[in-house]
Amino acid sequence: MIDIYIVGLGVLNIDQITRETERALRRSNEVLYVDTGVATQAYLEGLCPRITSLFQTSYTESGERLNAYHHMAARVLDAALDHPPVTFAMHGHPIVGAYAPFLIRDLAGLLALRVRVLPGVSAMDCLFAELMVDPCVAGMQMYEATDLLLRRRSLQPDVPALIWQIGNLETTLHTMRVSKPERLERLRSHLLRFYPPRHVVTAFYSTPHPLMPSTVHRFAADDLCDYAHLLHPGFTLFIPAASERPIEDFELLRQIDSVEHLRRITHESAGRQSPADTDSPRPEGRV
Amino acid sequence: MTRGSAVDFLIRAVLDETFRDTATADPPRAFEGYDLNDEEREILQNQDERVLALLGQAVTRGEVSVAPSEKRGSSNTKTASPPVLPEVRLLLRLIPHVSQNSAPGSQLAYEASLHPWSGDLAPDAADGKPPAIEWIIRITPAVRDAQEAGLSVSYSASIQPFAVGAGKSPALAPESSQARSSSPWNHYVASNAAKTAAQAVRASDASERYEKLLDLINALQTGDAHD
Repeated sequence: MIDIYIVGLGVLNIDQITRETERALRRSNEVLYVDTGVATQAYLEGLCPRITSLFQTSYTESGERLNAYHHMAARVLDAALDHPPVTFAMHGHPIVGAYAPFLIRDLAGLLALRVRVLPGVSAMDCLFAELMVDPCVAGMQMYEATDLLLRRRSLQPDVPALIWQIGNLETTLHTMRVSKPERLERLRSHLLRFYPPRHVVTAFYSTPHPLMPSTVHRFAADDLCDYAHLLHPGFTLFIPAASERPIEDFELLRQIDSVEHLRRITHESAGRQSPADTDSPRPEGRV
Repeated sequence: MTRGSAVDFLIRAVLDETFRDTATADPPRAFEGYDLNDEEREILQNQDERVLALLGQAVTRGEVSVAPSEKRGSSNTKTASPPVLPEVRLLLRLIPHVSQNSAPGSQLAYEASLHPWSGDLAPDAADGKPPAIEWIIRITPAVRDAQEAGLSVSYSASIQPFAVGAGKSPALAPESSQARSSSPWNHYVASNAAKTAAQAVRASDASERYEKLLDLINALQTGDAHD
């Protein structure tokens, strides 16, 4: 029996909600949510008798985002202790770029409450689909934008990069204010340590509404600051590879098409369970 | 009946797929019944990135959480929350007895008892009895519908071993060897400060629980070093 479901509502308002998430919502005595989708509340009211939006009570202009996460976690735990099960529903994927679910999980452990996290469609999934990016081709490196700068992380120019939250750059405070070009200067300089100035990057904002297309800005890395006023917190920066890494292991290259090699690295009988399958913990409960 | 606003239009386009198709194929027809100014009509006709501005206005004005009641139907029933029934927690205790009889070997039997459980310590076993096997049974009611005629309630139940250890709570026991959680945030889940704060949360009533939870969050983040 689950006390708290943590679910993602997807990016495109209600169309990307999964069936297992919908079942969790129906089973809950209260749904507490953080999502500014125009129809989210109306949709949730059709599934659960008690709906609570946490957005307006969590965020204040120039307020610490951390305080907002504390408020969300405390409200969800309060509800779960009072009338379980409850659902905490967030925009996108509940674990991607969100602190409150981790806080809720650890608090719940201390309070003997059981938590189940259900995945949602994230901005990354939408970006893959709309920009036709396959992370298996040349790999993918991804960083949160401010963390990238704080740690001066190195970027591999031969691997596509995904930089989250470029619209929230250089602050832990919440704001709806429009960015100035100066805000992106440090990021621009950092990118130019690894990429040619005219390397074309893509700022992508996946649409939250079916009557609106996703927003795509393509520009040279050197021109990043010129787009500051357009890049709100919903944008993700995609940087395609600027070069190709040559193959170094030619022995493996020969082997990957070889039947003999395949037989050497596999068992004769088909259908064996992998260790990953057999060792995986079973879910605590079915939704 | 009042005519809908641009926000009403956008909400319906999400919830009503037929209307969404009309709004895309024949916007002027979809506009019938909506009170839209020229700019809103132009944006909703073109369906370009400026729709975001209309959505943003709705968020700024707090309209996203107040959808028009005539679109949703039973508006009155949604505002009154149904009663919330408390969870029932029971402690199942099995005390083993070994008895000898005429047949070869011994025979094992259990004495079973059921106790109300508040979420804290287990009730003491009788002196002199062997170690008991204890399980927690949780029965959770969920109110599906609340009408004048009565409540429609469904129940779910779970049973899990009662852990022996810190706090004697199922989730508190196994953390002692690892001071921090497995999440990237390194919470001090096994600190004394966090355990004490968690007990304070459990002991609090509804009026003070939120503040106690904030205290627990603080303890989780700072651990014992800042007590």
